[in-house]
Amino acid sequence: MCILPLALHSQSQGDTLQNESEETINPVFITGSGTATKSNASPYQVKVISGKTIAQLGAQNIGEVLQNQSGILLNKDPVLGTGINLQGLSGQSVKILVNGVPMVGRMNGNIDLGQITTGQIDRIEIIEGPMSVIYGSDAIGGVINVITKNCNALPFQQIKGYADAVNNYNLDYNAQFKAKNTTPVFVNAGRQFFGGIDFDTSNRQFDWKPKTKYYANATSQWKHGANTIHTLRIAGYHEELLDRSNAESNLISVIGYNKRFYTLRGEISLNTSHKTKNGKQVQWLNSYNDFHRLSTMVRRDLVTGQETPVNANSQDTTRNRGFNSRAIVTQTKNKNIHWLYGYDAAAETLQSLRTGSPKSITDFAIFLQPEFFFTSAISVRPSVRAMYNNRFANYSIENGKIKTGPIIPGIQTKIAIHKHLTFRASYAQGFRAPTLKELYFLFVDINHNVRGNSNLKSELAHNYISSMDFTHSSTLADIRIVGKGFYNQISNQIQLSLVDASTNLFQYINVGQMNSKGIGAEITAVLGKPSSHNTSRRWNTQAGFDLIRANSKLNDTTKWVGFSTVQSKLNVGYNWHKMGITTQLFLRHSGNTMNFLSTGATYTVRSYNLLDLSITKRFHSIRLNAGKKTAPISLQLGCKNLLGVKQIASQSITPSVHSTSGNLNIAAGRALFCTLNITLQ
Amino acid sequence: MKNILGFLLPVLFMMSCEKPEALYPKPISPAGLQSQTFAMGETYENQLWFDFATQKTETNAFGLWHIGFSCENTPYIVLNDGLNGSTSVACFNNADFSSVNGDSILKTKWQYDHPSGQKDSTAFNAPWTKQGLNWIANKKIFVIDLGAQIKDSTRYIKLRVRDLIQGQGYQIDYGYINDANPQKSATIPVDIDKNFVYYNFGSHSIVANEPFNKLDWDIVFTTYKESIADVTGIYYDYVIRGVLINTHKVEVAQLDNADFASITLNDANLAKFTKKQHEIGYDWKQYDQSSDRYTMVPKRVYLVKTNGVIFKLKFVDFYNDQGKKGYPKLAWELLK
Repeated sequence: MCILPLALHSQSQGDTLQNESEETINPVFITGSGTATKSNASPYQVKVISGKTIAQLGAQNIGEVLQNQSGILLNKDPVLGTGINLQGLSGQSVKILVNGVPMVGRMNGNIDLGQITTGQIDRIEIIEGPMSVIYGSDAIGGVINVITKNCNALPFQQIKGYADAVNNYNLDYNAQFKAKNTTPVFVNAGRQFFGGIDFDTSNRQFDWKPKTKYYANATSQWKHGANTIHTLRIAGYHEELLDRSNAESNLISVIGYNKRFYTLRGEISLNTSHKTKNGKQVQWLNSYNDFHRLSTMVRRDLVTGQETPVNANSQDTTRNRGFNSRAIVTQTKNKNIHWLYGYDAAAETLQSLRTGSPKSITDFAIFLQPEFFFTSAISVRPSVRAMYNNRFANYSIENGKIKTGPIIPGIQTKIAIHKHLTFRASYAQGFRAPTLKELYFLFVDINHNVRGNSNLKSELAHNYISSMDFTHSSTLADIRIVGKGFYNQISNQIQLSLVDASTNLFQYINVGQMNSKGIGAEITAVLGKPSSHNTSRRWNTQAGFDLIRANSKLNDTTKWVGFSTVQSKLNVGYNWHKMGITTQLFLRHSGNTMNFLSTGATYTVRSYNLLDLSITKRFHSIRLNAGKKTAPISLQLGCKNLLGVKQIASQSITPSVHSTSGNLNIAAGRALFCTLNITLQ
Repeated sequence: MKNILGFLLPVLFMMSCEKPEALYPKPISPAGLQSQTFAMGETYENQLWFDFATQKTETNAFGLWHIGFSCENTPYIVLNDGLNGSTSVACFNNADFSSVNGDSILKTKWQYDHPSGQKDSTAFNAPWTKQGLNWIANKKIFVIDLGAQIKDSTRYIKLRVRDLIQGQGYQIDYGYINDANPQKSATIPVDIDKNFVYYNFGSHSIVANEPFNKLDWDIVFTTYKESIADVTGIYYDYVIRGVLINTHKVEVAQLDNADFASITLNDANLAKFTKKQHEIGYDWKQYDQSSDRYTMVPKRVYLVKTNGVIFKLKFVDFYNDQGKKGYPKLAWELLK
């Protein structure tokens, strides 16, 4: 097991602890342990998307980054944003973390990935497969951990402007300040404006709604003694989304409605890393997250422009707050055993017009994850999580016997078959307590009758994943090939279902079963002999595919329905070192997919391809301010969605009744883009 | 650096502001077009009665009555089935008052009036049979479910009609569901100036409902019940809000895909009119899921024939200026 120094955890922009080729083939990650670990040394199957790749994509939020990953399906709702499906498991089954801090504020089960902007991101770590032992509920499908930039040694300022042909105009500012004898502070702030896209200009409604985002975050890191490092992060986010209704022209007037959704996020976290004298490594993370979403609507006379606020009582507001505390202790006593243990505590409150008075849920768990190294080649990592949940996993005494909450086991193994070949296999149970929304949602009016269910049971899951990993390095190339297979099974699945047709009652109930299985492979190759001038290789390529099968069964009286899909990607990049030019091509194929609706209906989405191309030129030593300073400038030109995909055919099928066809929005259209990045160091 | 930032910042900010929406041209309205908002209220608490000839509107509260007695020569009873989703009637043939009780209604068939208002399609099925000049009461017991909002035994009214002698009005006996004998009796005299006389089982009295005489109103905005198909084609009973016509004097034709401005009197004379009370009904509006609002069905126009003239009319809104629902706005024009 390779544990890199703790300081590596705080690697930041410009940090080159790993050379470029190694970073691609054998990246470092911290998810799951809190300490930096090389991926080839871990029993986890890890993907790391580097900041460099994010920059090459021209991606403005992590939704645009993950769209390029073959095992990940994204669904884009014009109002609720971008949701995720990993390994055939969606929404509630995928944990979204920022520096290990769980995000709150799921809408329709999903964290809107579009709300995590890329200017602050150092890398994204994706662990496919169950992480429920460490991260608890909603980590049964996997974890996406966004690692933000941290304090570097050198002060700098960087400003980045981005504009594209589909009405995006963004500014992002990064800076590090460090006065003498003070702790460094890293600051990221910016504004992202999207003017909206309307494919059918004969109506007033946008197909892609206009959004304006403001964000700011600051990170400071300081040492306390020789062995303790504190990292404090404060972040804020504000988003305004405009949803316009179609115009109603009715003989005497033309009326329209403008609904604005405001999303506010706030986060404060303190991460303390401490190394004890006897070799223990302690990561203690405490965080507070606040999510607030509200809407306002005005009625607009489209002839005069007069706007009148619409009855405030019809607007919903949602406030979701979460406190999380987690400690992970790692210790290597000898070369045969490595210990990991800790606790995970979370308290969450939800207040909404749709849930009535504020509701809360608390969760506390302890976990233990020793890793046994039987030989230098074989390691086994059994794990167990015991939890208390104030609603679903109470400890009580019944008939003289102690009734405990669920204890979740898991096991991970890693076998180095050969110095180039590693086999991994994992199993874990998952346990997901119902969310506060699923318990208490209430939306009843003339058109809706949707209710939560306080009698819900927790979802139970079994997850299996195995992979074979081949790596090889030579003077000509570094290559990594990964093949994998997985199987997930969820029972007691919580679904919103039509319970009583006569009253049109939709309610969250434990009826469903769901399973997903799949195989996939990915090859990463960095090619070209490094020159005496530059140690980087010229070519980098990555190709992969995933074949995923997902099945769902609404209840005992219905049949299994499901779909198979092929998802694949191809990335090719080339460096002209002398000219300072990098080109990158990203091709993504999404095969036919299907979504399951709560009514038993299914919803098919036909296949499509996305192709992005970018060229980046770095200008060195441009003189500014009468030659006093130099500023590295990079200019990126590219085209997202070169094939111009906008909408694709989709079909909704209701069993034994009828089907309806329509178009589903995939992208805003072909988007030529330009990024100008100026760094003052 | 300053030069570059000085250029970059203003350019990006100037390009990245929400553009003000261009104003729409004012629609060209026909010269004789008139319009009015009918304030049913956000919870549809009001009924509004309207007469096209005088343009008079009267408003009263919905839900004051439970059953109504026809003032026509042919006697029949109507139910205020818009009171609640479960408001309905069960009919027990050849039954005595004492033999119908709480157990009897557990598996019985409940019905409500057909919204067309046709007298042979009411929930009170054939209370009388005509013999000579007299109407003889059939041996039937009717149980009226006043609605699930009533949580005790007063929810169910057990009613028996007596023989009807022309000119004297209706006579009924009633009690609650488990009463062995009628606890109340009432005589309801007909009013030939009205369509119906209305009765309330809460106050045990006749109550006013139609504010105009039957010759003095054309349409009423009110609440009633209708069977409507969902997206899967299965029909469910819904309490809905819409417009019913005064079948005593009004006929209606519905035109779809019609251009309001171009409809002439000649077109109207060729239209097929009906006296179905719910012909205008509720479906001039449609629910738009994406905006969570009602919108007007485009190009749906109604022709209303009353007092020998024909009006064309179209619903233009369902919300007031504050955006509150329950305020349908109607535009109409007299065809000449």
